[in-house]
Amino acid sequence: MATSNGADVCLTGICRSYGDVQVVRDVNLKASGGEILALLGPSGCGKTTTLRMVAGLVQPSAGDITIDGASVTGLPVHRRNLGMLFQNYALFPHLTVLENVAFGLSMRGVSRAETAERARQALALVRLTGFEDRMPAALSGGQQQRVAMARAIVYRPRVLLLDEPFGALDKKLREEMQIELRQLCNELGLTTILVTHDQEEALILADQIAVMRGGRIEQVAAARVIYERPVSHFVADFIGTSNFLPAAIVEKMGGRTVLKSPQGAIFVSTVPNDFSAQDRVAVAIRPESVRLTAGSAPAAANTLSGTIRRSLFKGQILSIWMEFAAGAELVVSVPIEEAGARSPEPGETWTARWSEERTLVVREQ
Amino acid sequence: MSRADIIDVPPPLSPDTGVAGASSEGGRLEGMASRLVGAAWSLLAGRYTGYLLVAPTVLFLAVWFLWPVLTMVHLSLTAHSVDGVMIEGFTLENYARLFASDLYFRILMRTIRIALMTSLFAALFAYPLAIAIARGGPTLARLVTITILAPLLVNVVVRSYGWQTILNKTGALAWVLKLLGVSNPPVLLYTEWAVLIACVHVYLPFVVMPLAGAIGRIDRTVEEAARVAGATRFSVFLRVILPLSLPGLAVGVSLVFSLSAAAYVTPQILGGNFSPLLGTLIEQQILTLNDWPFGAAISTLLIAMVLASNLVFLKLVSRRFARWTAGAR
Repeated sequence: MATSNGADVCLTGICRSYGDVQVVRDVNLKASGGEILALLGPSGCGKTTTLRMVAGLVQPSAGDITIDGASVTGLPVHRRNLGMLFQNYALFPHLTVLENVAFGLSMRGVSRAETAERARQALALVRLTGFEDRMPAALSGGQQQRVAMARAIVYRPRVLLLDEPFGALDKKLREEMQIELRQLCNELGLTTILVTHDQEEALILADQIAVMRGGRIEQVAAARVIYERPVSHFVADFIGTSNFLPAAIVEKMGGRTVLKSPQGAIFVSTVPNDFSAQDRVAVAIRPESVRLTAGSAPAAANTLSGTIRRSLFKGQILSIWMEFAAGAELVVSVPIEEAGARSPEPGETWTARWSEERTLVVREQ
Repeated sequence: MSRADIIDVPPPLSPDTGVAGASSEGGRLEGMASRLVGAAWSLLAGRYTGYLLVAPTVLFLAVWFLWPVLTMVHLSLTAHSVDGVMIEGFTLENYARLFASDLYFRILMRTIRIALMTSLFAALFAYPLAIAIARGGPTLARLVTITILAPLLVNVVVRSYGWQTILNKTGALAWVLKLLGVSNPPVLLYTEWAVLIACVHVYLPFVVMPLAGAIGRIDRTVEEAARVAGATRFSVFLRVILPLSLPGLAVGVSLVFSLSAAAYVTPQILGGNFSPLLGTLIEQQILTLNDWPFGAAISTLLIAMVLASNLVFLKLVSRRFARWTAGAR
């Protein structure tokens, strides 16, 4: 993370309803200077509405938004000094690339000479020198995205807001732009709030990820923590894929949590969690955490034996479905290099094991 | 796809040649001929679909519009009246007379002035209304649409007499102004202002509707991007909505200009004899003075004027607009 001059953005108890429908419920968030915060969630989870409230395009029904400690809740959009990127770029179709970028400066009454100079610098920053006099319609999607980026950063906004900025780009270009954007944000030390439904994008771009669901924040944590220690079934399912095994906490001692499944299997987790025996929880296992060995094995913690049902070649990995109890399957990812000569075939009996550090305890809905 | 799939075309017709009787041979030829005609037809229809679709309208207009107009132009060039006596033969006398006489020239200028002013005022009033239709809620949009379309539902004569009762010396407007303390309220009836007010009233929808369409097509996120970038609502209008709605405005203003330049009933009733427009002049020449060639010349001039101004105006706007979509893929 950059050492930064970016602003601190703070959302406190933000709510928004349309009629009887509550779109955003009691959202509390903080993006510190220079940090990239991703609002991640499925469509309709309230992430875009939350971003639009920061921008001032939507007024919160309750709660307060501050930037660097000063409330902006009542401040009109044009006085918030923010930069924003839209999914469809939203360039001004009647203005040239340079005029598009210069727009924010001319709204701020910057002199003509300085406006042109700074607009050119911003275009250079997004590597679009030479495109000044083109019209937006004559540019490719990636180029339009860069113009939008230059337009948003040219007047040195306090915060950069990104609304699904790469949704319209193809996969390869999207990845390029993501890396470029991350570098640019870090270089400029801009506090950035990103809205996305793409977990990969959130993991690549964000320092902090806030997973939203039904208008609420489900979990806020660093990208890596979110992936390695999801608190709920929803988060574990939304970020990466997981096997969910119903289980109840039997005992907790010294950082170890012991759980028991309805079928009697024992799971042990050393991942810290805040749950007690009364909580409805499940054990979540990432497919890539599981190791397979041929044959069955005696009952032990974090061990399941079963029959291979299907296997699917996915390029770098082999996905294998193992039925360990009637109707209950475990999905396992085996890297192709590790599969070797003896890969599991349907009908065979194999044993799955995983370590205690990879055993996640998550809240069930 | 396998090879068998690729070569699986309908079997050739040759096997039954010579085997079947003459009658079946004839039937087959007939079938082929009709198929050939069908193919030719569909080829033609495919290539000329556009022309075929507009053909009925074009024919109708050619017979009922283009031909009469040409006859009119012809008449204006082949005869003129001297002291009430019609003289045949090619002449530009009618046009010379139109520009030579101070009276006629003033009427021409007044017509252009009123048409321009009507367009201008209609455009000014149209923007807020069009924005309300395009950006307001569905109820507001419907309400505004009905309100501005309402004058079109009323017969032009009724509507004009309605304005007369409002604008005359003892009319509603004078009454209200007196109540407000204006001691000597202006009488608008039989002035250009009366004509202007009535024209703006009735022609407003012709500019509001295309304008609302154009504004509705402006991406809302473009406006939002402008606001986030620091534009006040007024700047958003000036820098985004106004330029992007120009094509719609151009269509609307062209319509209003054409309609008000050619207006007859409204100026006749509300402008009276003190401020006649070209329409009134034409009526006088043809119906009262029986000078058809001169009436035809005025009509020709009116049509040429409206056509030329529309072409120039729309060309300017479309050239500007083409730039925005240049190289669009």
